Amino acid sequence: MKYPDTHDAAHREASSLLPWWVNGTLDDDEHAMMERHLAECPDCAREATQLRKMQDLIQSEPSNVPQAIALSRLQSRIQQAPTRRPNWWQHAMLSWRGASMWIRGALVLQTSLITCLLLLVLVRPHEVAPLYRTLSAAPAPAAPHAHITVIFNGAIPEQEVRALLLSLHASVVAGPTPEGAYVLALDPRQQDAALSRLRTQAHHAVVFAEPTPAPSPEDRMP
Amino acid sequence: MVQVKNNATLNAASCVDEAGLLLRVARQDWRAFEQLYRAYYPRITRFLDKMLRHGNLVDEILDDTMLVVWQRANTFNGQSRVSTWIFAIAYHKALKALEREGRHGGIDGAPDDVETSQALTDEHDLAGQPDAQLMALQSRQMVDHLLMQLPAEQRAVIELTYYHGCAYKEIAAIAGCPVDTVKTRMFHARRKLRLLIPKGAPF
Repeated sequence: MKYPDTHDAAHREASSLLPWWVNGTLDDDEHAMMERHLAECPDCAREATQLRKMQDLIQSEPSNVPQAIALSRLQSRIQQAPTRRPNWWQHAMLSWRGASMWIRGALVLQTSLITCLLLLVLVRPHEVAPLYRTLSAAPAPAAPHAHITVIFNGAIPEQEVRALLLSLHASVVAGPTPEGAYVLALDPRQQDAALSRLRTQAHHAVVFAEPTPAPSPEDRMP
Repeated sequence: MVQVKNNATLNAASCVDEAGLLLRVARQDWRAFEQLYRAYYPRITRFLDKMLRHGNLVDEILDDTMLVVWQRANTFNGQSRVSTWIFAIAYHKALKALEREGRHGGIDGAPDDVETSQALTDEHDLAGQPDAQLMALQSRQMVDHLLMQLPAEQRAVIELTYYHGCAYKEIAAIAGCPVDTVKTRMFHARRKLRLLIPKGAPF
């Protein structure tokens, strides 16, 4: 199989396009040119046959890695919070993801109703937050804190994230992970309202919001 | 033995579907992502398998690629096909991984390995009269072996052309290089393969 040694530019051009003649992706003009050339160039015609055999061989390989395992592996990675998750939580997350709109709507409605009732019974009105807060002046939530793991939509600007967190009276205590997960700490009495808010009103900004165990000290380190 | 079909003919309807799916993925629609994942898993796995030469990296780079699809779907601007966009991510991740592993091979290529190819031929006794299926298997192994001798960029051009049925313009878009570079890489790959194919090979 000798490479044709010729100064003919048309032949060189045709020869260089042979692979894409063989795989059928040349445009109409190129295709017509190749047909004409192959009719008069036995070397290229022979080479086209060889390349077609190679293509057949390359295409004839079976694929073997099971897909379902790979997908759930990626899903775990996307959902991974800074802390280690118990299995029931992962299950809850998958259920949420897999739930239809109706079920999600029902759950959110239920949570909202329960939250409203709880608020009516338990919560005293908050003092108006100061207009300007320094980090050292930030009021700490009443111990013990509740924690939520949040993943924000990557396209949302920081100021919107900041505004959201301030309105929830939540602080970031861990994260971000490479996948963009943060752990928020907030008043336990506010957790349900915060979750509800994150999942509904802010749903364009928030990909994921679930209650989470408190991060251990190591997990707070970036 | 499963015959994996050539993906050269993506009809217009499925192109539109994929762009729609990607838009939903940009809105963090997991179901849409699952569909896209299933559609691309066989092709991207195969592509990475050939690029990376060692199976243990394929899982990692596949995950890295599809993670970018999940996180950066909002950056897809519709200027190219969805397949071009996803393959480009996989291609560049694979090259980076090869660089990290120090197995890039470089543009000038790995040393010619005529001896090894001949040994492969002798071992499988292609000069004899093996049955057709065994012969095809051995030839496929040989092609695989030969392709692994090529530098990654040339190997990618061969795979994208013959397995994934890409036009040369599409390969240029995937690799982020000029069309002439794609043709040059194909030229070098064909020449090298010609040197490496031992006597008595069935093609």
